[in-house]
Amino acid sequence: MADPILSVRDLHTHFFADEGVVRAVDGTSFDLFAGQTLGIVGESGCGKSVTARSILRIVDRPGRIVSGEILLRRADGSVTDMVKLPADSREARAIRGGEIGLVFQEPMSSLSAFHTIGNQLIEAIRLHASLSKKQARARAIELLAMVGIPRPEQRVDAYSFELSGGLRQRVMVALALAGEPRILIADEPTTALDVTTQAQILELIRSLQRERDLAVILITHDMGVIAEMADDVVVMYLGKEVEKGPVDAIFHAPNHPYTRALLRSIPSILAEPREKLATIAGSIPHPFARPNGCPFHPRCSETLPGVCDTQVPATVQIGERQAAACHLLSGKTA
Amino acid sequence: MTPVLDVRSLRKHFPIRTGMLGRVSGHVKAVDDVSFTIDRGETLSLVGESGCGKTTTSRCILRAIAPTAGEILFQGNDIAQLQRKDLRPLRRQMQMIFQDPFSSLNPRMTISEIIGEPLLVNGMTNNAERNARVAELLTLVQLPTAYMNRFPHAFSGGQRQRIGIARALALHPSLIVADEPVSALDVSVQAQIVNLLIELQDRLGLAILFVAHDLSVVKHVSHRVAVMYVGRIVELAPTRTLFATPRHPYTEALLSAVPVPDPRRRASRIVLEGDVADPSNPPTGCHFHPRCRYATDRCKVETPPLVEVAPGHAVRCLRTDEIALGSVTPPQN
Amino acid sequence: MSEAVAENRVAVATQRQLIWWRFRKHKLALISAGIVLAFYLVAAFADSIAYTEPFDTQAARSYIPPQPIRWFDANGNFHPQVFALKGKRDPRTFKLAYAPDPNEPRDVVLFAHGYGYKLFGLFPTDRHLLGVSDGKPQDALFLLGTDQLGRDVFSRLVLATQTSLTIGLVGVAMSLLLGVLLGGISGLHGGWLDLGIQRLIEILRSIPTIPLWMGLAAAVPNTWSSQRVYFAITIIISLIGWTELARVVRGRFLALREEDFITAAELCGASRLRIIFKHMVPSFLSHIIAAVSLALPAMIISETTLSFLGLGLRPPAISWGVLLQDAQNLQTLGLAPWLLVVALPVIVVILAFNFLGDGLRDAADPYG
Repeated sequence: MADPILSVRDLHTHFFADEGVVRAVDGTSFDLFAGQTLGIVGESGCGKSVTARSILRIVDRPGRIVSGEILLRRADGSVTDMVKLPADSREARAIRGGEIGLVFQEPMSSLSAFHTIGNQLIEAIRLHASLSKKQARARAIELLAMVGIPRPEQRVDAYSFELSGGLRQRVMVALALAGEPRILIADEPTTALDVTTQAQILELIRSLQRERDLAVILITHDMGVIAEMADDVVVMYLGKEVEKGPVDAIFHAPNHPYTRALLRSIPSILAEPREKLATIAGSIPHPFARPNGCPFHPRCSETLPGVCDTQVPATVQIGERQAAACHLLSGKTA
Repeated sequence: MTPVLDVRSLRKHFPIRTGMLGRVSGHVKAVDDVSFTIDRGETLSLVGESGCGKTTTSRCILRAIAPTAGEILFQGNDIAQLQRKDLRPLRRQMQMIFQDPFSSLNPRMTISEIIGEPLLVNGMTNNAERNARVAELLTLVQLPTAYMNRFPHAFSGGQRQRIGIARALALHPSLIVADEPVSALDVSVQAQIVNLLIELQDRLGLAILFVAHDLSVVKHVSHRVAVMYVGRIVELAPTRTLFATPRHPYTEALLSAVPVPDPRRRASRIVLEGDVADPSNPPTGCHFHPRCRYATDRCKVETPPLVEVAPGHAVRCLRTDEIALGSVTPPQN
Repeated sequence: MSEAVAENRVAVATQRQLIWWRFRKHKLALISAGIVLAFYLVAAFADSIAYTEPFDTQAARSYIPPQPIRWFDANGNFHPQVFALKGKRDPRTFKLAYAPDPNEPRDVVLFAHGYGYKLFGLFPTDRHLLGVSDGKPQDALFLLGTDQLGRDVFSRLVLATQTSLTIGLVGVAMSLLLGVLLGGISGLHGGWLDLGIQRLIEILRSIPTIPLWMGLAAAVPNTWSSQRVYFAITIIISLIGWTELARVVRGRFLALREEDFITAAELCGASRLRIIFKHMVPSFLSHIIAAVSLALPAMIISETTLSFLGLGLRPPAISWGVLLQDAQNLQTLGLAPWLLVVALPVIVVILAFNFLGDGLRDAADPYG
């Protein structure tokens, strides 16, 4: 297999608040390959968005990357550790929006209401390529056409509030593509959208990926979207990576009790009417009150008393590409 | 047996005002000729995308807003045009569960005050009696009664939603309107609330109007489903029928768009073109025709009526008998 | 274990406790609260803190520079003293020059006798916080010097503090009444009443304040006593000041009307009054307190500005503005720069109020 375009190694991003330290990301590692989609899935507070923001070096204060490596393989074959770059350095800024494009959840607040979408696109294009204004405008129209916006020659002069939610999200994708990225990070790109619009945007991301051999990191809480889109999956819970592996293994041979419980508890359109769901007991703990040992142990139906509540489980490799962090697995292999 | 709720030709038109003097230049037909019934112990889901009028419909039924026309027969009484004071005795019979578990509880009141408020304002002034009932309600929604004196900020989203449910049940209502009650919750918590609603309904014989956009959740909770598009019901059928044999092209597309949590079932989706129509200026004829892949010239001019194609299965489509639609097939194993 | 206890404490904490816990973290606001409190203590006990009759003029004592207290006597013992001043006329410039006379030491004592006054306007007394042993501080104690008419600046400053800080309170109380009433009607009733009140606010806010004050102040008859002028000025200031509060109140009402918990209360049959007083008012009370603490300094500035321009309080009334007016000509600045000391409390109080208001506003919404 080719070299990964992005390798995250044992990333720790912590937030230092008055009330205590929140270990928002606590040891995440994964590889991203060109033309592939990596899904990061988890519930609120699991650290999936902070992982994305760490890669882009846009973690808000009081958060910062404590340790780890984010190795980006550049177009020329050299490798840059994003962690070592100062967050607002010229190089980091060139990578953000250049080599790595970003699509946010909420298109309305990510687009300016005071500039036409064309002007925002032109600005983004000219930040990363030396084009004249006219050339950049032509490129902007091209981008709008590429993301499937009808009548791009007219829409280029529209303001974001004149567009529907689906079109706005398409503009967000066009903006993310303006710097000709090789990696696209999409943070809950369809959460705010209706289901038929969601299908449109997912289809768009898929076709763009095919055309341009994009590497995509898709962050979502929706297991359905993951099943639909991802090649590889990282499941996170309270900052910890609990399981990762190829999408088929995650859905059909999950090893971590959390993955299994999560899959059982999601409502499915294939279920029988009025069928009750399997539940996970309790609720997600507050980030300040993260349980000792395995973060999932208070809600886990397979807890080993005296083990899970005291020791942090190590990540155990299962087969070639799957891994999970659970004491039950280390017991089996030992 | 009379249904708990019988909605007949409900309409809600919002005037569009323009200019300094606020002249009415048109109407948004947010709800346009909507009819359905809900029986005791039954859940009817209203589904559709944003702007389809499902929330406006539910607000009209609760009389949070006054409908423009139509009848809302609640336990046989038409409440569509009742005045505020005449509504009050009927209101305690219909309660609401809200979407946002954070804004639906007053942060300045304790849990016992919040759940006790409906009891207090309806005459249960004895504190001990009221606290006993609050404890009973907390047990009903599976929360420890020891939490009575806590404030909402001490609870997680799922627990708050349980508190909201307890408040809604305080006055023994016969109808519950649940407006996206699980969409703001995490997946692992969502399942708990879905199950709780099913259990409570079976135990208390509630009629539930479940307003939602998530078809997977809808499949788990409802007996019957009504699909809305731009202010109109386009299809109404028992849950199993609707998911197995949809008869309206919009229902077909909606079902097809739902991502299935199984990577082995990556089907080719029906991806609809364009956006949901603007309810202030809807397309002529069938509102869905510009996005419909089965549309003919007839669909552009003729407004389809809601026709019963099988017992309990109504469809608003001119070509429903001519086209064969795909469905969500059952799992393959 | 301790963590669980802490969690329970937060769980049953009332809104007020949460606000206090958050406010406590805001160090600057906490210090400012202390400063504001200290200033209001001064205002409450103004006559006790002043040591010389503030209206007592004496040509022979004009423009005396501030005189320090000598804390230690010749033997190095702690023995606070002041020396009586002797004025000598410079034979060439004919200016009076004052020099302390070491032969006439006076002991500085606490709770000394001085001029007579009524504490809180009720209890006649002649005790003052500071004084000299012979009961005549007017000859010896000049902590901040004197003005042209020989009046003690410190004592006048203390009384001015009383006037200026209370005029703010009265003004804000009146604005609050008007603001909550009109803002509440506007936000709750809506419709044409809302429209009318909003237009009224816009008109009031669009009038340039200084010409308006000039016009209104000119309408106050010359013959009125300083108390009547004081109240007239208060009313004038609060007539303009209520608009901001009215907007805050209306905005909160409108925002709260959309809240789900209000809808829930309506659905369970709660009466309108119950919804307003049980649900809505407690929800924005903290915002009102914050708005008030930000409105107070504006009131104080208004009074100071008006009086400084000669439109507000006039001598013999004493306020910060009146005192600053005394310090407004060049001659004063050259001869008696200590008269400018009045600006200091104005700046300190305004800053303290602003920090306090910011702190309160941040703490006011512990759920936000």
